[in-house]
Amino acid sequence: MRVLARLFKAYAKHQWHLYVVTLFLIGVEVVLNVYLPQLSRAIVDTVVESTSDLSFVRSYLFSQSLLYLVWGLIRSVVVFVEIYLFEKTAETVSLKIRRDLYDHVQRLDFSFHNKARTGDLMSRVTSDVQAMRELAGFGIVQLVYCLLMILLVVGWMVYCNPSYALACLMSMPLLLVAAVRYSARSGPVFRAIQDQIASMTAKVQESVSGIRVVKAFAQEDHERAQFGKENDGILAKNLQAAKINAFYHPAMDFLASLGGVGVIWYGGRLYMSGALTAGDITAFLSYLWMLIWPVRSMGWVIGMFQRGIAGSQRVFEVLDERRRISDSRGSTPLQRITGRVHFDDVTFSYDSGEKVLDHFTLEIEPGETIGVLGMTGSGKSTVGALIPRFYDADSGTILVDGVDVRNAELKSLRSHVGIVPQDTFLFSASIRENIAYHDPNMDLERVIEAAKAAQIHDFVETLPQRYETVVGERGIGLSGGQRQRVAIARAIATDPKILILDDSTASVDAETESAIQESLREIAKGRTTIIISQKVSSVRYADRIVVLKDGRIVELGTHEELMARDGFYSRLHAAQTGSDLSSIEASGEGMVV
Amino acid sequence: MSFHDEEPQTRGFDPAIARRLLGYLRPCTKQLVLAIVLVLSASAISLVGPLITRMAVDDYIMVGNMRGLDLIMLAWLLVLGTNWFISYWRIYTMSWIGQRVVHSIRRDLFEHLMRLSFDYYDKVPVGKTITRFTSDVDRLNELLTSGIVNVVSESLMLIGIMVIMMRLDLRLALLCFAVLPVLGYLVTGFRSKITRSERDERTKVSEMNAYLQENISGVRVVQAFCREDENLRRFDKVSRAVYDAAMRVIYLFSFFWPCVDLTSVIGTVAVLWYGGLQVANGSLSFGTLIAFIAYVGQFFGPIRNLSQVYRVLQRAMAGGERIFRLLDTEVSIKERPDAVELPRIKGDVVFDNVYFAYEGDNYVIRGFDLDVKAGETIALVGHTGAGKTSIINLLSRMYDVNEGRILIDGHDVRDVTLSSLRKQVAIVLQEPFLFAGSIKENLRYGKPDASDSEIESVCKRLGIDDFIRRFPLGYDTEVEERGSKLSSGQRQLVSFARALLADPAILILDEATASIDTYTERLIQAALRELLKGRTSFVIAHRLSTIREADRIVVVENGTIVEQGTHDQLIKARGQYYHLYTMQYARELNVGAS
Repeated sequence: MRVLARLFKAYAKHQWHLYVVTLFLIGVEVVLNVYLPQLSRAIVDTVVESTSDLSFVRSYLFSQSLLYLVWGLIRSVVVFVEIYLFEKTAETVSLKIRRDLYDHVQRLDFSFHNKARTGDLMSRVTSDVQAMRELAGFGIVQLVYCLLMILLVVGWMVYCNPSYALACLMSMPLLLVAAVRYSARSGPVFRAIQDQIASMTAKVQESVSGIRVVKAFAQEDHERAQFGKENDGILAKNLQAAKINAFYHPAMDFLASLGGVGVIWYGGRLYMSGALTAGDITAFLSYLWMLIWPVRSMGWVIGMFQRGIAGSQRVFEVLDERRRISDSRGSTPLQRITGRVHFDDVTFSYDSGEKVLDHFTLEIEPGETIGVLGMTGSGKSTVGALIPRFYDADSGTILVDGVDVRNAELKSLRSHVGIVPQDTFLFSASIRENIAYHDPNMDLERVIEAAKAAQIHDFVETLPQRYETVVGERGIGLSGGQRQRVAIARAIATDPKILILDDSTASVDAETESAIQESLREIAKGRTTIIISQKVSSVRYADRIVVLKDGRIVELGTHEELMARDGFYSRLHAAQTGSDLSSIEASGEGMVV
Repeated sequence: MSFHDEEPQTRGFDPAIARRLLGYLRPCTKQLVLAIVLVLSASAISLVGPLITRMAVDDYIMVGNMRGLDLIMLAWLLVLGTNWFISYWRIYTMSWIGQRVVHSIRRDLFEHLMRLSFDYYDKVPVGKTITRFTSDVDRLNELLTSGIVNVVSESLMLIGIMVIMMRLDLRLALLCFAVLPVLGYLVTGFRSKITRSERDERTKVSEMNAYLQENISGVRVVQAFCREDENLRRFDKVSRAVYDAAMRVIYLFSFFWPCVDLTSVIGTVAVLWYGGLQVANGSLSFGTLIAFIAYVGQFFGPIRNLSQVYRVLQRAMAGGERIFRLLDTEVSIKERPDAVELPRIKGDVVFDNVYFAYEGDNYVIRGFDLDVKAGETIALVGHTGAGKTSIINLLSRMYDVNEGRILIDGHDVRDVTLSSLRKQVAIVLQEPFLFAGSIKENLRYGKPDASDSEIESVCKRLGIDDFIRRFPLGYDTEVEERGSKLSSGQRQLVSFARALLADPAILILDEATASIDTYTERLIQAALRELLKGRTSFVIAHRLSTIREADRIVVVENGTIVEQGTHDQLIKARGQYYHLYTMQYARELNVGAS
């Protein structure tokens, strides 16, 4: 109930006038419906009980038929406006929810997205919003319509002839029970079918994606058996649903027809005893047919409400997710910066788990190139993620040009930081749009300049549509190295004062790596550059190198200084270059898996 | 999940596809006959309803025959009860048939997928393949469970109604039929307008979903580049397009229903007016009038369903075509009918003048000759695209050679059964692929009957027993699809153990150590050396330090061997390998720089 209230308060309130008009029209429609059998009753009675005056009958029939036509016309107009209005209201509601949901999701913190799965978020924006739309539109309208119809028609029938009404309506409560039970029983089964289909799809997806492994181990039979189970599951669940359908649908038909039998049977007897006219019977028959649809649909109106409420809950759950990283009241925009970065006694952990950075202190001069070296889990990527404030430190401060990042306006802070993330994500858009991602209005010259600096320009020139070539999922495929360089161009296109390269050369081969490194030396000029890597070769040229282990700095200095020491760095260097195979094994260090 | 649904092309009835579909129905012939009988009886019963009312009114109520009324009402109840029974079996049997057929089609699809060779997987994206199992199959199901039977039963219904009406009163019947063209136009012409705009709406929805999908997966980049405001503007645009398309559908719909309604009102009014006159002058019975009104109301259903049939058929044909195209995709790597089990091999491998092209005569392997003795470790070295991976793909017969042959222990790989070959050749790939399930299940993948102690001993030898045990559930830890608990290095180690557990005579490592960090690689190097003993192995790696220990280094360029020998020999020779090695070494050591 609270969820419903929230749904209407947040998304339907300002459309209250549309709801009022729609509800008024429903009322009109119901009254029109109830009036019709009165019309046909008069016609039938005139015709059946006709006394000799044929010309009267003729003119009466003509005028009544005309009235019937006018009735039909009015009703059609009313229904037209009604459908249009409530669907429009519902569509507007879903437009708004979609917008809010998307905007909220795209601004939620990294820590939220680390846990959330894209597929799950997608299903909230699509099917859950759809369920809410149905509830806010058709669901409400149908509920009101059905209740009004049942109330008015039953009331009118009882008013006209209580005992006859009772005989005709006897099966209606049973029909209602059947309709509600049907929706209660079939709902879970249909959901189970959906789940089973999703599970089958996942199996196909897995077997196809892993086909190399399947074939390499000659495990086709194993996969076949697993798929067979999923496939059998779908069959079994569908047959279960078929049984429910096969029982309830004919049962509801039967109960509905039972009313008709009552009307004719009991009505016929009353007619014979002279207590009813032929018109009364036809009127009651029409009333009964009118009732069946509202009663039967009560079942799925309830189901629609349940789905709508469940969907609303899932949507509100996301909307209630709080953004922890946002501008505080006193935040000021960072104007020009020099690029000085200061980590002051920073401790950080993801979701208060193990400490990833442990009292980390480091002062980076403007224009300096810093290499951050460490193995998986050493906390090196976190160093890069804290500067543009993707996360907030648990304790300690990070200062950019002396300003605590938490006091800097987020947008201005991030626009000073260019980042090349570990897995290069490019959008399905042209290369130009990808490089100009930060500022869609960037002129082509600047894009080309960035591409040249990232050493991807020559390659782009070989493409048929050059900078307008679409890449990404729906465009041409680029190799890892090419993607990497586009990502570098994207990061430097706005000329950021601080550049962070997070393990950018991990997935490229040696040749590409050296090409990228070549260009980096140029790019790094005039910027504070932070190169994060697990390879000595990537950080070797840095002004200073920080070696991280378990979130702590274990070594700090230039390449030469660190090489002179017989520490982690020099041993790693030896291992990675293969110049001394035994050193690592002998040292027994680095049991990091 | 794929959000890009392919719209069916407009195509008509295809007898070839229909014939194949009928083939799937053959095992259910008995049920099909039963279903048809049930459907026909159900239609007949719904036709009889108004006639019973008519009889009750005219023959009993109007003449005051109370006993007769009781009898006919009892008979009606009986008919209704029978209808319940018949309908139960009709619905169940129809679903049963549809689901059976769809079940077999899905089974056949998967069977075929498992047989298909890499040339299929190289070309077709996963999403497309999955669509065959979901929406295409659904479309066939739609045709089977409602389409075919609808054509028969609804046409009969319509004809039945018309015949009965004409027999009751020809002139009144003809008057009623006057509304049929209008109704016909509404449910076919107008309806197809709605269908078109619905299709447009679906396209807009899938565009929006694609936008969402991309920008949610790339949300980190979005935030890093402060694109939230711009992206919201863009989302508004695509979302608005969905709204506009939906409103168009809504507009048509809100027009459609009242029109249908009005048409049947007109029909009813015509019956009331004209029929009423006749009842008044005694030429028509009151019961017939009531029956007529009931029949006018029954027109709509069959016409609507018949109008859908063509669309259902079209969609099913398009779906069927795609499904059968997949089923007809030729398996390029086939076992010979006389293929023999490859006996337990020692591991002698001979590449004899091998030529290979993925497509046409674009050869990636040209005249490759290599003689490998059992137990030898061969390192394949060369630039990206030199053909190293192609060579090893040929060895486990993932593709077939165009010319020449590959012999294992003297057996041509094309003469033996695929599973006996592949079970003795294990591959560790650059991108480790693990299946949903526990670590243990993944380790057992190549050897389903491996005992727990066997698994543990392999893991201990590889030095990964420790890290697996560190998980609270140990070997039973679930390897989740994405939000994986294992780092890529750990996944690679698991895939190593998986390969070794299969105890292959030939082991192939394709860039297998690329995602393992240097420390770990060093750690398992010793174990690997141990495990490579007694096995023929092929190692592809970029890192030359990994390669130096091989028995023989083979330098590949443009699909052919340019040099081979031990590390020392090749360094002395000062050829291609020397060049590669010194370049790499220079890069790694930064010799000569700064």
